[in-house]
Formats: sequence, structure tokens, C-alpha cells
Amino acid sequence: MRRIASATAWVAGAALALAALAAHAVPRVPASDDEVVETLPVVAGWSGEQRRLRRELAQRPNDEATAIAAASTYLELAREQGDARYAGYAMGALQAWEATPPAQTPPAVLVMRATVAQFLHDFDGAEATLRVALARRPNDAQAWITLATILRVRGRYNESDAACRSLGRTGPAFYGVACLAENAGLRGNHADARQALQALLADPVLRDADKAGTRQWLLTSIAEVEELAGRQAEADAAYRKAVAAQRSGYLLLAYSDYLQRVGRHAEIPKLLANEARSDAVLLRLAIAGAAARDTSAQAEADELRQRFEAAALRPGTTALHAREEAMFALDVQNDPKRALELARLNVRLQREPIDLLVFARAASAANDIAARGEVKALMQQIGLKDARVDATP
Amino acid sequence: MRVSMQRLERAALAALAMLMLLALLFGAAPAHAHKASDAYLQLKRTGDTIDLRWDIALRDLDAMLDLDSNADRKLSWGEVRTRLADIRAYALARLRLQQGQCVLAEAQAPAVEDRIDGAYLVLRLQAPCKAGAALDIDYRLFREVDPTHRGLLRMEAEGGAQPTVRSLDPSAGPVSVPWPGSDVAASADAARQADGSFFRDGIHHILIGYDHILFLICLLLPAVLRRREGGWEPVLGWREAVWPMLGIVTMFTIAHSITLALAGLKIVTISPRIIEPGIAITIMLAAIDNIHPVLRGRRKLFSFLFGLIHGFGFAGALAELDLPLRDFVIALLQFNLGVEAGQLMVVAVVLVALLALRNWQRYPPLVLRGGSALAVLLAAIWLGERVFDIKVLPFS
Repeated sequence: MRRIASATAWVAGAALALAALAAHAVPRVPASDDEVVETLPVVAGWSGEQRRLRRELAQRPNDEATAIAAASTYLELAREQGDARYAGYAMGALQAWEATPPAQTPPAVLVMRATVAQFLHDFDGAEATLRVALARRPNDAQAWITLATILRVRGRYNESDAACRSLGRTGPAFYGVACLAENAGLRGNHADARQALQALLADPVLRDADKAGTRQWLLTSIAEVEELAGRQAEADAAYRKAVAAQRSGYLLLAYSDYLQRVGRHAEIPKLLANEARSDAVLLRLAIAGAAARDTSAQAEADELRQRFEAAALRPGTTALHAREEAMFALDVQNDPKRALELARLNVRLQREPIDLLVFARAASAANDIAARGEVKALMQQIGLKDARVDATP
Repeated sequence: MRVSMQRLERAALAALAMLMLLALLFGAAPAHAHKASDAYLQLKRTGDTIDLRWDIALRDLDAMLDLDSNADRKLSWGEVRTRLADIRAYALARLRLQQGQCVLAEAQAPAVEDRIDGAYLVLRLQAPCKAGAALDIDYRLFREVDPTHRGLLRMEAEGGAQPTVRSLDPSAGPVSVPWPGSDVAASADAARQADGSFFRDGIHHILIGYDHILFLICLLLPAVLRRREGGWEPVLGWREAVWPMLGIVTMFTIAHSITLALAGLKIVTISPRIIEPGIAITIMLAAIDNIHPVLRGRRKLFSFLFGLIHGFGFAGALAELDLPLRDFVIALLQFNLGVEAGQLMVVAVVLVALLALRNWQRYPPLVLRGGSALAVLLAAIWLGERVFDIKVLPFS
């Protein structure tokens, strides 16, 4: 009986999902030509730049440099806006080589394609493409660093180490050291990681104003190591230095998550005030609002829910935003069961500390002992040590 | 010396400039993401007429056709309206129905719809199109700017059948999509529909899954008998057969539901190269146990363990699906309920037949031992087929 009832509920859910596809019943015809119907992303100098790139691409679609320039410009826009649509355009810029076998595609095109694939969470595709590129151009530092990052995200630290070492051999030692230090921090060798990153940071060359981005990146890495080590005051100090050096989208999200964890959610809206309203940014605002029981954050929560629903209409994409949806279910919707389901799906794709932490917190909130065992086993399998997971009840 | 120092410095600077670029890649789990580019196509057939409502994102149209003529990063309705002819020509050249036999023409003036990820231009089109069982759709919108674009199609026909939903890939070439409610839709590619046909699939799967049926029969054969020192005697009333049987079938059901769910949701996946031979082995063991007790009377436990293996087998039929999680769970549930219904039919029919036969003197030697021996032989052949990937029997 119960089974039938739940089947009915599921069918009703499906009907709703179907209805959503058809929901927008009556479109409107704007009354006046002056009515603004859509606003395009505004990025300084972008409009002219985009047109120039598009024109050049139309004239010389097979020109390697033109295609890569267009792709990386689009990818930058995608990152800045947190908008996957522009990553699709970046892929489109490289289409001249779509039918070319990888072995005959210029390695630089392969590396660019892999970078876009990584952004779109196609990690398998990105990894395979990079390996082909590296087989032909083993000295491509960018390919090695991207590969090391992908392997790290997937929780394959030993392979990531190997890529870091190749990176150290091909580019300046700096990258290799930083790359290995990140992996050491994930494995729980906090002292080594901290020391290596601090030593890089102490290099006088980095004092120049135009090295702020590098300083910011090293400081963010240090903050993350401190978080893994469970040293909150040190993490906070490093995050603040990083923010003072230069604001980056990744940093602000990481710091927001930190603030949320230590109960300082009131500081999050100010921190993210000037960021593009990507799913990830909206999510942090909605979580902070839920923690503060602030009804004005309901708008963010509603918009995010609608975005997830719209994204769910495309088949086979659930895993791509499972991390954000799991956090949303856990911290905004108070639905630990669904959060657990999504978190479990997510760690099959990506296994960064945040992913395991969400998995552990969902398992704990759902009071699911078996799932907690899964988290533990997975962390052991990866070799990830995280004081925050250990502190999860 | 001095020169080489300078060169070194310049090299270090160049390296650091490069680092700036590379740094973008670190911690690269991207701030994800507004959704990728989708267009929405709602097709409705009434008699020999197809109505299509096609919603296309204005941002995508701008990327392709430069609608923002004054480059102020704002699209006014005027900027869109004056380019409608270009938009129509561009879009209609990228959607062909029935190899171009059904020509789409504008039925109503274009309009605008605000969706969560921006404004969409709504084209309302119509085509005369002879009713068929399926519709050939060749969709290539934005193929040249965005290979990750998809057209999300919803097809509706008269008669109240559940609409068909699927995603159109502009790079994948033409596809044939069955109209909902048509015969083609019922039999072909039911996986693509969220219309309850998974239930029928489930029934179908167990009824044509001779290995699952044979396993059930092996479990049922001794149910109408009970062991007596060294031999068998028929049970007195039907209840004596039904209750233990119910226990065994329930254990089997619970177990295969668990693994079907695990495999269906891709939480646990085991290669069919292991599962399919495994199923054959479960049949052999169940059948051998009827001839000579090897499972030590713990048939419920083994029904459960064997059920775990069969569940992975059922999931094979669903494994190819690429549905969103939400729909996937419905599909899984329907499929499983179908399997249970099919199983119930098999159990009922077989049990009635066996109950009728149970007092026959030759039941133990002929039906039980002979039938079980035959099952062992059959399962052994399947095992060989599945291990060595060869085909001996016309059915499996």
C-alpha cells in the first residue's frame, strides 16, 4: 500500500516536472520598441572584444591562435559570471578540430579543450585529452598543471603528485613545489605543506603590486591547509590576508564557507556583495540567510531553487550541480535525506574536501550510520585527512 | 655576467606572468554555474497539423546574430523586432521535420518569455504534417557556436497519452521520436518516456527473462512437498505450501529490489560479465538443492543472497538510461513494481499447477528431480555461454 502511495507521489512529482516544461503559458509581446527585454553580461571592454573575436573566428575558423584566443576569452567570461553557457561558446570556438583525430589536433587546441571540459566538469574527457596532448608535447606546463588539478579533484593524489613533479621539471620549480604542497596538505602533512607555501610566499619577487594574484592564491592555499588541520584562527588570518591581497571568486566562496562554519554568517552578504550572482554565490547568500533566519534571503533561496529546477529539465546533468544542490538541501531546505543522496552522487564526480565534508554532514544530519561509514571508507581510500570531517558528530 | 643576470630576471618575470594565468587553474573547481544553453520545443499534434512553440534564449541569438545593434549590452524589443526575419531564417534552417516534408511557418507573432536564466524569444509555428507513428527531427540550432546546447523537446498528441520528453543534441544528427500513444512509442525506446511504460517493461523483462523464471520454478518445485526421512511426501493443504513459499519469494523480492535500486542509481555497479554467469550459478545451486540438499535447509537466506545477484541482472535493462535523478527514481520504481507483478503471475500459475500435481506418485522422481536436473543442465549451458561469450541455445 505504502509502495503504491509513494509511487503515486513520484508520478505526481513527474507530472509537476513535465508541467514545468510547459508552465510558461502565455508569452508576451512587448508593447514598445524601447522596452529592454534582455540585459547582456557587462564586462569592461567585452562587447567590442567579443565582436572582434567573433568576426575573426568567422573569417579564420581554422586558425589555431584565433580559435584559442576566442575560447579563452569566452571561458574567462564563464568563470567571471559563473555561467556555463559561455563555456559552451568556448567549446564552440574550437569546433574546427572537432572531427580531427586527437593525434592530429594541435596540442594547444587539445589543452584548451581540456580546460573547458574541466570547467564543465567533464573530468574524464579532460584527462584523456590532456594525456594525448602531453604524449606529444611533454613540456607543456599548462597541461601538467591542469592534469594535476583534475587528478587532485578526483582524489587521486599519487597520480596528481606525479603530474606535479612533471610540472616542476618542465616549468619553473615554483609551480611544482606549490602543486605538491597542496597534495601534502590534503594528506594531512600540514607542517610540510604550510612550510613549503610560506617559503614560496616569502620570495621577494612576490612583493610587487602586480604579483597580488599570486600572493592571494598562495594565501588561499595556506588558509585551506589550516582548515584541514583544524586551526581556525590561522585559517581566518590567512583568508583575510588573501582578501586584502586580491579578491577572487574562488577565494570569496571558500572564505564564505569558512565564515558559515564558524558561525559568522552575518559577514557573508557583505563579503559577496559585489560578486556576479552565480549559483555558487546565491547558494552562500541563501545559506547565510537561513542560518540567520533572515526572511530577506528567501528571494535568493527561491531563485536558486528555480535555477536547479530549470537545470534538471535537461536529462543527465544532475551530477554536474550535485555539490551545490546537496548544500542547498542540507543548509537551506533542511532535507538531509535528499542532501545525502546528492552528496553521494557528487563524490562520484569530485572529491575535494568540501565534497567529502558535505557528504559527512549530510550523513550525520540524516542520522545514517552506513553513510558515515561510506564517508570514512572513501576518505581512507583517497588518503584525505580533514579535521572538519573528524569533528562532524 | 651582467647581461646574463638581466636575462635571468627577464625570464623570471615572464615566468611569473605565466603563473598569473596558471593560477586561475588552481583550486579550479569552478564556481558553477548558471545552466548551459537550452532551447525549449513544445510540439503538439492535432490531426494533420503540428503546432510548435519554440523558446530560444535571446543571449544565444545575440551571440549568433549580433542583435545588440547599438552595442549598449541591452537588447530592446526594437533591436530584436527589426531582426526577426534573420532570426526566423536562421532558426528555421536548423530544424527539419520529416526530412523537410513538414514545413514550419509562423502561426502567431513572435513574443517574449522571461525564464529563470534570462529572456527567451518565443516562436509560434505550425506545419501541415501527415500523422505518422513517429516524427523525424533534425535539430541543429547553435551547432556552430555551442556544441553543448540542447533542445529540450516535449511532444504531445491527442488522446491524453503522457507527453514524450527528450533532449535534442544539435551535433547528433536526425532522430526519430515516437509520438506518445502510438504503437511505436509503446514498444520502442520506452526508456525515453516517463509515461509508466517502465511498469510494462518490468513485467516484460521477467516474463522473457527465462533465467529468472527458471530460478523461481526451482524454488517452487519442492514447495508442495516436505522432506521426510530420506524422501518426500506431499503437503496436505495448500496453505502448507503457500506460506513458506511466500517467505522465500519475499526474501528474493527484497533482495533484488535492493540491488536493482543500487545498480539503477549507479551507486554500486557490477559488470554483467560477473552478474550474468552468477545468475546461472544461482539456478544451478537452487536446482541441485532440490536433488540433494546443499543449501542446508536455509533456503530463505539463500533466496535473499541469490536475489541480490538477480537484482543486478534486472538493472541491466535500465542501465543505459540517462535520465535526471528525479525521473530515474520513478522509472526504477515502476520497473521494479512491474518485475514484482510479473513475478507474482509466474508464482501463482506455477504454484497452482504444482499443487494440482503434488499427489502424483511420480512427482518426486519425475517433476522434482527430473525437472531440477534439466534446470541444472540448462543453467550449466547458460553459464558456459555467458563465461565464454558464445551462443548455444536460442533463448537465454
